[in-house]
Amino acid sequence: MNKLISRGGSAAIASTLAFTSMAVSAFEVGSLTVNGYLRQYISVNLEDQPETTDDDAWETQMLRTTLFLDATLPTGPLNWTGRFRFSKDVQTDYEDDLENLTDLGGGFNKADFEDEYDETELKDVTRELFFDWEVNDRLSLRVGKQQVVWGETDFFHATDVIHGYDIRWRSFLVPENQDVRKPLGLIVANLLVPEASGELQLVYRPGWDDDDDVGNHIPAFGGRWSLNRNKGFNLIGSAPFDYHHEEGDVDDAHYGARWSGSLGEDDAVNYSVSYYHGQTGFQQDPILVCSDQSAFGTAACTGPFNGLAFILPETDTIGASASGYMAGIDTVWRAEFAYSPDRPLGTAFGEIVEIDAWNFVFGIDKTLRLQNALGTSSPSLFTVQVFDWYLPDVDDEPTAAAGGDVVMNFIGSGKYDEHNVIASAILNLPYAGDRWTVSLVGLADLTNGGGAFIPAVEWAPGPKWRIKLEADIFFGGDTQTPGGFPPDASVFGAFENMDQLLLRASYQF
Amino acid sequence: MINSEKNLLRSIVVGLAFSLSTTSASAEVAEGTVLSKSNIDQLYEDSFDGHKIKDLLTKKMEMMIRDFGMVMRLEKSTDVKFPSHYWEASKANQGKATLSADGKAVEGFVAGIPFADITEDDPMAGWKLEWNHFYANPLIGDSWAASGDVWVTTNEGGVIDNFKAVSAKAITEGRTEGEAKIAGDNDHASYLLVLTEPYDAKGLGVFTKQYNNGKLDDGWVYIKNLRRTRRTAGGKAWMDPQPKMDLLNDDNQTVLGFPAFYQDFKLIGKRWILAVVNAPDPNVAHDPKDFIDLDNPPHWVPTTDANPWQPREVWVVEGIPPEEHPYGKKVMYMDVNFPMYYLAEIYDKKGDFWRIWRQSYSPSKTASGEPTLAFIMTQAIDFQRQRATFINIEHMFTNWLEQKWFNQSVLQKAASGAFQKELDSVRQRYLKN
Repeated sequence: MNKLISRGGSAAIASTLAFTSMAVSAFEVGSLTVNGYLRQYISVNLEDQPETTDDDAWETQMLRTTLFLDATLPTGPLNWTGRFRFSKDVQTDYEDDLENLTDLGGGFNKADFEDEYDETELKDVTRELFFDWEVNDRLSLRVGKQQVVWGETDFFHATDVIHGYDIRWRSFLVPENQDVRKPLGLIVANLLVPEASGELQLVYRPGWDDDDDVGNHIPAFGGRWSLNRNKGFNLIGSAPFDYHHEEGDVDDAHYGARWSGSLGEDDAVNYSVSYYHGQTGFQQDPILVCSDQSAFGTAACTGPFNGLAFILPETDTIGASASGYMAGIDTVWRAEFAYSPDRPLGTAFGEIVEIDAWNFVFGIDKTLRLQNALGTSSPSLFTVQVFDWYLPDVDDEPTAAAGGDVVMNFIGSGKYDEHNVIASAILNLPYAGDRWTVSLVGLADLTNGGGAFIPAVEWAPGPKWRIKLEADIFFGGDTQTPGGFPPDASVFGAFENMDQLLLRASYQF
Repeated sequence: MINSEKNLLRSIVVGLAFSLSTTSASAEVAEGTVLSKSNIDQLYEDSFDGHKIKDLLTKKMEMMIRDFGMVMRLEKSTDVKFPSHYWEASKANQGKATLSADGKAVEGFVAGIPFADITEDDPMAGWKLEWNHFYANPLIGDSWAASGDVWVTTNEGGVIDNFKAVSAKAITEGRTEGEAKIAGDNDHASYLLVLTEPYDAKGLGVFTKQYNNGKLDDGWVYIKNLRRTRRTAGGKAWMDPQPKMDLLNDDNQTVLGFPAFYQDFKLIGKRWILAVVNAPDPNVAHDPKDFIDLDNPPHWVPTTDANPWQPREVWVVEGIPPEEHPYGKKVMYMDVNFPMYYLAEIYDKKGDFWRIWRQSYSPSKTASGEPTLAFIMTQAIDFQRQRATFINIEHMFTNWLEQKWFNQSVLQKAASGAFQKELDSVRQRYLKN
């Protein structure tokens, strides 16, 4: 643990504590109200990383400070909301080592970790900025940079296809989806139709966002969340994003509609149907293909990297979701499916193949009253979800559906199979008048094996402080072949050696 | 001369009265006297407003005075007024509602108080009183909205947590202003709760539908961090603890659950107690410490300025919850003239005293200018864990909220602060009226 706080860490923490010791509270100026938080993240490796020469166990992996401001201002019929996040990473010795590894000689292909992690420029700091206008009792509009969430399930995005995610600084492990979802400039209209017990939502994205606001921001630049055997290798430097590819141009409009409502006696079933034309659909990761917009400007993939680029293909997603309550077992069920016809995917050869893709999710939520058995202070929520990304006729061996090749996911799960099934389970255990909450999260890859176990405890001593300690433990699955290309790890095998501890301290106001 | 003689006579009479009050065991206690640990023995046999002090105190209230420093400023009884349409509906529909033999079902209810003429010798009186409360609590009216500033304290440590929420309820049957029924045959009420502070909880909202046929509640929750509305398991949620507080969901207005979920409601009898119905208007800006002494142990004693206690005649009803409920029984005190509870003494499954629930009320008005009551605070005091929850009411309105606020889809809108803004707007109109 002697390396827990490395270069810059002490200073960052000291400045944080100095700031938070002041009397900070929500403030109001006229009708302007501002809330938010100041947060410090500290994470340490629990294992050595084979990519570096040093022993990385107990090395500080992340030192990140975030100031978040959430402001609201009513002006006549419009209610304005602005959400601003300033985040700064103090680069640790470990990250220095990784960044240096990305230098292939003379600065060639070297990644800029600070540029990847920090949110200091106005466009990045402005997370959301929109106004709400309640036109009448039925129609309301929300216009501006915002987040729109569809579907019934968290973490697995079936019909929730409007936004990408920024998983560069903390991979998929941030439980608050809104903190990693990438907001977009949208015009959203909601029309209540009580006669049909429902609501119609229309979403239009004119395409005025910056290029990199669309699709997932992936950690494939060699940093702390690059997958195993790829840390210290800047894949994006070799295969940059082509945001204006013929298969998907971020300047083009995205649009869609969702009808949500309830059916049956006493609103027995909540349901929705939706359609969205956007980019990347329910697999928000970009695909790696041969492109004429690559770093080297060549059209053909003549070498391992020449001509390769990440693109965000256009997709149409047709989806539906439903949820209901089973009184007999006091359990809520949730189901969701999405269909993306002719979904462009990349092969190991960098070719684009179009495959009908399906996404199925089923989950249950059960309230467990464990007060007598485990001494908890309130009921516990137990959630189980099963997710299947279904690609008919695709196999992890070359198939005709993939043009005689395999369908690849260069971001995490290596080769796709016909069914790609993941299950999750979450249990929360509140104690001591709900001031301490233990959470247990389990994930399992039911196709290729492996999983993750994420125990955490959060202390909420009052209205201001939130202190969370979390362990991220990965196990099993197919691991990456050393030196192999393309990647062949499975979802959780790709996280080999990446066990870590995270401390998150927040002071909210 | 005549005036001088009168003044002399008055002085003698007052002097005698004072002398008697210090020596007699049955003297009249002056209005404004603060009953406290230091004088309870002295005043115990004395009378106030026609009742002996000892007869106005339940054993638990007496314990709170003697052992915890509770203080009560005495005030003479006043009239409590509710809208004329409430009484008219009660009168017009009297005799239409019938109770099943086991007390667990009501047929023929239209609006108003279903069972107005209850006698102590009626074996079903306990059930009838609770059904009256379920259908016609005048505090709720047709709709009700409030914002609460919640303080959680321990007897020794003082304040340990503080958060805020806005909530509302609309009954969809038995309304007395406008149409009596505005939803399906099985619908009884809709509830909206939205947390507004601290920041990590701000925007988290719950919408619940309650039914009149024993069907379990349906619930939806908006999870701000996920920006998603999810259905929740209604089931036994009505008897679950309210997060961080010393209250169950079922403690809202003493009994929130569908009456037939209980095993029994028994009438224990009639008596007089001290209760607060003439407190300051919660809609006027105030500090929580105006209402509760948060600074001094046990950190839950109501202040004397804001809480005048007056004699009220009450029904004493014993509610026996179902086996899986955390409580063994609730002893509840309901005004004999209208189905609203002042106090509940709560026991655990072993029969040991556990908690007190009580509220202080104040005169208020509906949107149509009719008189009604608001409440300025809810208190839940846990005598086993030596801690308490105090909900300081910052807004409280009966029959001011439009029905558009009572549906699932409002959760997301409410999370953006729209509901709080609506209550602020209502308050401005309320204060102007």
